[in-house]
Amino acid sequence: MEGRDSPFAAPDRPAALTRPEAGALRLASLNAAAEADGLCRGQALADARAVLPGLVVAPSDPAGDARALYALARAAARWSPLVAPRPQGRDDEDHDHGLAIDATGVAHLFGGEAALLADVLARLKTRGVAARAACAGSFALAWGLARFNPRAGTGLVVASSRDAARAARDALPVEALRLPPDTLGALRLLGLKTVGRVLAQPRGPLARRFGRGLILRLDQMTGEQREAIEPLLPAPPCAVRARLVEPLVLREGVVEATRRLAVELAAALEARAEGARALQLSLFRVDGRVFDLAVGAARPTRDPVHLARLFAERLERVEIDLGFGVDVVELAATAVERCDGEQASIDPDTDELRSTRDLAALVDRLAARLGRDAVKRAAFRQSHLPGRASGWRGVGEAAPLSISPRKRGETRPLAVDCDVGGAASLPPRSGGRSRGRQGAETLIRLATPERVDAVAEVPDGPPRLFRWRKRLHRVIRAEGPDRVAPEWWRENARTRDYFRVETAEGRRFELARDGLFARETDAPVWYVHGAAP
Amino acid sequence: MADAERLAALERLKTQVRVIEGRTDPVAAARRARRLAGQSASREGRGVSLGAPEIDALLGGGLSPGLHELRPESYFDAPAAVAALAGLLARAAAARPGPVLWVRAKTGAIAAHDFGAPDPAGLAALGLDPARVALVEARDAADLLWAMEEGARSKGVAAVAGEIGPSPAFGRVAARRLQLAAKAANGFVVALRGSHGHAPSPAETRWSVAASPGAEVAWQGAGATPGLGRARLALTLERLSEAREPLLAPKTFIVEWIDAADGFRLAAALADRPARADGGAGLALRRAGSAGGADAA
Repeated sequence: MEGRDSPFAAPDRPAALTRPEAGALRLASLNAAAEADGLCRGQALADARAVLPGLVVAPSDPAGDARALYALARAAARWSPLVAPRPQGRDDEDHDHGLAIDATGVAHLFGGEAALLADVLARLKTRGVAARAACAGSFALAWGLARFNPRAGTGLVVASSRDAARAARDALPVEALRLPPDTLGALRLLGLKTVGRVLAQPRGPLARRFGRGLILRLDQMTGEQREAIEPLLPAPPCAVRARLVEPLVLREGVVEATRRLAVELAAALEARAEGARALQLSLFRVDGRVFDLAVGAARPTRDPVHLARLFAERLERVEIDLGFGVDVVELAATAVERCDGEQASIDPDTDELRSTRDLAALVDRLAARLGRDAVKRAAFRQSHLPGRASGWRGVGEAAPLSISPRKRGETRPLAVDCDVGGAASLPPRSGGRSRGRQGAETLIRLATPERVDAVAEVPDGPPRLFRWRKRLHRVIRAEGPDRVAPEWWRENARTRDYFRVETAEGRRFELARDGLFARETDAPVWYVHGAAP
Repeated sequence: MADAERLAALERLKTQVRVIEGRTDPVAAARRARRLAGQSASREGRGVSLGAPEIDALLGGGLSPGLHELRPESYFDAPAAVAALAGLLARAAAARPGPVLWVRAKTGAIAAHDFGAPDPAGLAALGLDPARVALVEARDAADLLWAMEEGARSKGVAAVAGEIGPSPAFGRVAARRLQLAAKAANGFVVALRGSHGHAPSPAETRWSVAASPGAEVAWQGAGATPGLGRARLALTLERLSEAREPLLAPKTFIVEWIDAADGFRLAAALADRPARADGGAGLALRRAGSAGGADAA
């Protein structure tokens, strides 16, 4: 596939892109007119100018080319979910830019393979991309045909019958085998100029002379060896799409299309007994741009109303230029989890399930607009440090929300510092901390404990006075210490004594002294960790 | 019938014993409260009572659905105001089905007014099941208000709390929007505001919250200091919406939090009891308990 924007738009003027190579500017790629005038790749620009003074020249931009190719590959998802831009990696010998599309099972949607290719070429042409396309039984053959068969310019389909495929294959030049230049040169010296000639040779001597690379390419060409492509996006587990006769130009239309697709997707998910945890809505604009919107769900869901509402939130929030319209809308569940039918409780008052579902739905709506890190659920951890034992975790973060609340007395895994389910119903009974009173947990906790100047009567005792946020607090009641030994796997951690204190005004704070006096440090440091009640 | 009465009496006695011994299981208490609160799970028209009959009578049975405002009396009373907020949420969660939404500014956004995020373990200790709470950390005031409004409009939400703080974005218009949204969907919304600088607001009620010296206890805490008794809050009802009988002057109540089932209770009944009128043994005990406090004060 070759395509250039202006000033190369006029195909009859010779034009070239240059890149610095071996100490000189050399031609990196040419258009057909320049090729017809006898220029070739790798030629020094000075030589080319001598041949053709009117040559239009611009520096090549490999990074820009790669970006454009990826955008093109994304847009090609309208034809098939499995699309790979080529070249894919550094070791790919594919120098020509191209796309590999796995059209297995999709051609009939476009009225056959020939119609599919015609659609591909027509759409690329409106984008200003001159392309050649071929469809064959193997990627290697299609690759070769697209580049070396003269009929590929209008879309070439090689019938799956063995004879037709063999004829087309055997006529290809050896360049179609994607081999390193020195191998190609050696083959040509031997007079093996077409793929058919090479295939006619005995494999043993070929392998000895040229290595296994040639054999691999030959097998890929014949289809003996399966060639995998690395798709740009993995195929979603479950996806539905709508192809519209009349492009959508209004946001409301997109919302409505999404609503209908959500119903279809819900049915598809139900058939698989699965629910979606992550969804992506892709809008294919007629001119080839693609917009992707992703939302997540707090728990597996296949409620069409809920799904549609999530995207309605997102569509309201993001700026999408619909331009001349969107003609393909795809709704995909990019992550699914098992989701069996649910039995609601008869007694609505104790319907924990409904409560969980309501919460999940609310969380999803908030997360769709505010971001999945802004909405948090309670998370508990096995730790003796009160600040670490409980906290909040964004719904977008790794651990999924558990649907079933953890029951009291249930055994917990013995692994230290493991997360015990996203939304465990109850906090672990605070390990070794002996609390004098019920309800004595600190209610609010500073994200970062703040250092204070404190005075204690005895080294191990509670503070009598401390200065925090520009004010002197006089302690009249205190409880503690709760002595928490450091977690041994942390370096430089010291024993902490937690005190809960009440000031003369009745304000309650949680303070901790970091370090045991005389044993661990000579100057213990006090921190305020939290407050109330 | 007699059975039902006996069971109710037993339940009351058990509650009292739990309160006296201070060993209520908060989450179980919340479940019990929900069971006691009524048979229907719909939240239609269901107010949130504070638990203390004296206050509920003044409010006409409890806080009605709509917007309620809390403000700390001074800067360092903010934690006390959060405690009152959490208490109201626990009561609302006990009385109404559905999740609880707690909205606050992103940690560190207004550092000087940030006393920290609620701790799930602390909420559980109050009787508010943390599994029912979703915490939203909003980037800015607009997001914060949007999230509160979304919660207020949602049918399935038991209560919405918003730590708005001294944000100027929460003016009369924003408050009115919230109030209308909450009224329309029967939502229960509590906004926690800054300690001063208040425009008149359309909220149903407005409370000023201050910390108050806790209940006295007879045991030693740490070192030579007395221990911590139940925390006490001074709730001052500053405004009651026009729909009800007018509030002539702000009324202050000193309350203690019991648990989600019993809610707040006036501390005055205990605190103002003439200790010296008691018998000799009781007198001696109380003196031993209060001596440390007197020294420290």
